[in-house]
Amino acid sequence: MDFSDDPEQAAFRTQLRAWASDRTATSVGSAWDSGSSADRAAALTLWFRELAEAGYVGVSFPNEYGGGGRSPVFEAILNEELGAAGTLPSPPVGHIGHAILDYGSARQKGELLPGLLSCRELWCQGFSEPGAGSDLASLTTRAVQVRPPRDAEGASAQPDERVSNPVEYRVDGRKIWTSGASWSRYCLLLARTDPTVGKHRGLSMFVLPMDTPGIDVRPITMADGGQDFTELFLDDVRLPADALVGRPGQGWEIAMHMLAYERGPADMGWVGRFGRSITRAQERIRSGELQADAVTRNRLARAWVGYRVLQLHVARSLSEREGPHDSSAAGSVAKLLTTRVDQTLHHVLVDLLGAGFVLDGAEELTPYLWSRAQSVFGGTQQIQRTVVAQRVLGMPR
Amino acid sequence: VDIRLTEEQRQLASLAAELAALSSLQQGHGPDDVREPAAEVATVIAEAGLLGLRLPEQAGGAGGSSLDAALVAEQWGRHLACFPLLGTWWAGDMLVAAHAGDDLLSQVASGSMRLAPVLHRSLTTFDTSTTDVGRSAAVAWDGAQALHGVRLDGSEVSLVELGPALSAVVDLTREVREVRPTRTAAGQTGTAVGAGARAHILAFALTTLSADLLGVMEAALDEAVAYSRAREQFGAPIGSFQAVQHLAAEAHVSVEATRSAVWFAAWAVDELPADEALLAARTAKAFASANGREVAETAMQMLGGLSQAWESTAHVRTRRVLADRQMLGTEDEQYARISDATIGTATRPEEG
Repeated sequence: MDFSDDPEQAAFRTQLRAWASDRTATSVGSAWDSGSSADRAAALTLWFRELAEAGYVGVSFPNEYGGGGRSPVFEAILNEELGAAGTLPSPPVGHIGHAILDYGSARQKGELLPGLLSCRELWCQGFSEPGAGSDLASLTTRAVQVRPPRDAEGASAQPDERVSNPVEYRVDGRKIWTSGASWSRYCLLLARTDPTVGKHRGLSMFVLPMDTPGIDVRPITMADGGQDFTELFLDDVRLPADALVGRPGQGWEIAMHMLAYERGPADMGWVGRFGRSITRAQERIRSGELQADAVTRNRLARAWVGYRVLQLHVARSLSEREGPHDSSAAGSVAKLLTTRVDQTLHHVLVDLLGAGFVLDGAEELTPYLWSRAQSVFGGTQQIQRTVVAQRVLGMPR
Repeated sequence: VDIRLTEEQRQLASLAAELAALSSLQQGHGPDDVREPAAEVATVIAEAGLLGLRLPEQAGGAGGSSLDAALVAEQWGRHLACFPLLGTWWAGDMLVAAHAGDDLLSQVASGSMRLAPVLHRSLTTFDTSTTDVGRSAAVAWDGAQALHGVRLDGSEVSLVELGPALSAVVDLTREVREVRPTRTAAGQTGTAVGAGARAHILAFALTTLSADLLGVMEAALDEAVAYSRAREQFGAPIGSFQAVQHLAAEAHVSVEATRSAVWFAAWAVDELPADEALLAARTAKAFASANGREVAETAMQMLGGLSQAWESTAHVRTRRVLADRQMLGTEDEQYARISDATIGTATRPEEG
């Protein structure tokens, strides 16, 4: 066991630290802190590209697809250093990247991964629906095999599941809580291709280019007034047969595989984000800008302990990712721990501002609201607990 | 960065599990079965190299790492072992830091000289130099069968005479002894211990306590989960109810996160400068103290009425957790010190 860097890791860390300390001084961070949703998105996009150009996105993905070709623990180093430097987080490419890398065709990997990992092409995710949240597998967006219009004169718009050699899918339905849909190039879409089999087995995964006709993107105004999420209305959207990822009916398996990475805090850059918040709070107390009595200091220390333990746990999980493991259940454990840390931290950060939070607290409101979302998105805290109980502890269903 | 156990470390843990069982309070037995570890248990544990695990090889020790010690301590907690291994290690650490003679250390390694560490009666520090009025300011912890106490006051290490065991103790698996105000004939032992070495001693002690807590937590959760599969109510195993599953799932998160913290703290004792090692150990101890109690109590809840019975091991585990929590400071004490280290000292002075 070794928590220290080997020579390759040390070189990576040193270079990254120098690079990140230059970036901290840029205006990227302040646009994020004080801007509107659009400003935040623009600042983030700029930052992601800068990070990708420097070689710090997809560090554990294969070189041939634009990744760094390194072991998963480099993701932990990346998160630690970005957190310590107080930069914006790294982009959440891990879950989509692994869906394409682990299930996509050679053509899909070659065409899609370089754009994803360079952050030149942004992606969104079309999973949740108004009627399918925690019970995701009950989703009703349909992808039906149809003849292309030119071959099926007059009957082009009619779904026909008996077509023997389909060359196209017709998609109809609604997706909700899709983040970044307005500026995404692609959507990874989960839809029902076979309503006659069990709900988990009738789902398939698709790559949907966002410029396809028939997609209507409607922003959702969130609790903090921002518009970071959207609703997608899909009406007679046509996809070629090779938009399918994996096999027909494999959609649920792919979605669960992705959630293992989405739930892993390292993959999502959460650890770094917490590190940034907590370091700034400590600095503001040290400088006298914020007053903290002994009780508040202890509460902040408790949050710091949680953050450090999460950081160590993530590093350990990434080490174990190199061997055989149940990644999905490990992801659920990490997500539950992340939720605890996030919510503990933001309680104390809000209380640390005290009256200032009420009188001038807009800056801290959004992260606070996000900490409440932490136990909802990517599978609620309750769903995660059920996964851990049944799949890790073997408790009866 | 490679945070996985080696094959040798796994083997050490399973050896430790067997040896812990020699003085263990086995599942299905009650606290009446807690027994003074037989004298031959010391010999077996010494011959396996565990008594001198931390001691240098030229003194008959195994020269093991702090991570080795943490893996063994975890099994000690897991099996509710009564044999005073952690106390022996702490006392040994103090003697090594004072450059005590190899003859004394080899007696510790062989089990012929049994020693226990002396703590201030507040249990938050080794230093007993601040005295309470009218009573001994010191106790010796994990002192079953110990001949002498080892006291670390300021930079001075000395051997002291021990009194009888305290009778009213929460922890049924470990003995706390009175300390007599007199030194042994040997008096001060070795040379002065510097601040860095004192911080390393404290970091190691905090780490082993955290590892002990980890073991108790794991065993408590395992027992409760096994029970929830077997126990039926409303015509179904109670483990099939989400209300019960969610308690167990959060407890599992606590156990695995504690393990990550303990491994880092153990690695840090050997590899990092004193201040960083101490911060890592305080982090682990804070997390294990808070989560250890939570998990032990969750396990009691899952066991229902059974956990309240004298025959149950559940309360024995909780008792050990409650004692471990206090030893060298609960999470609140650690948070205060961590604040000083990460933000800067506020009002309270930093002590040993």
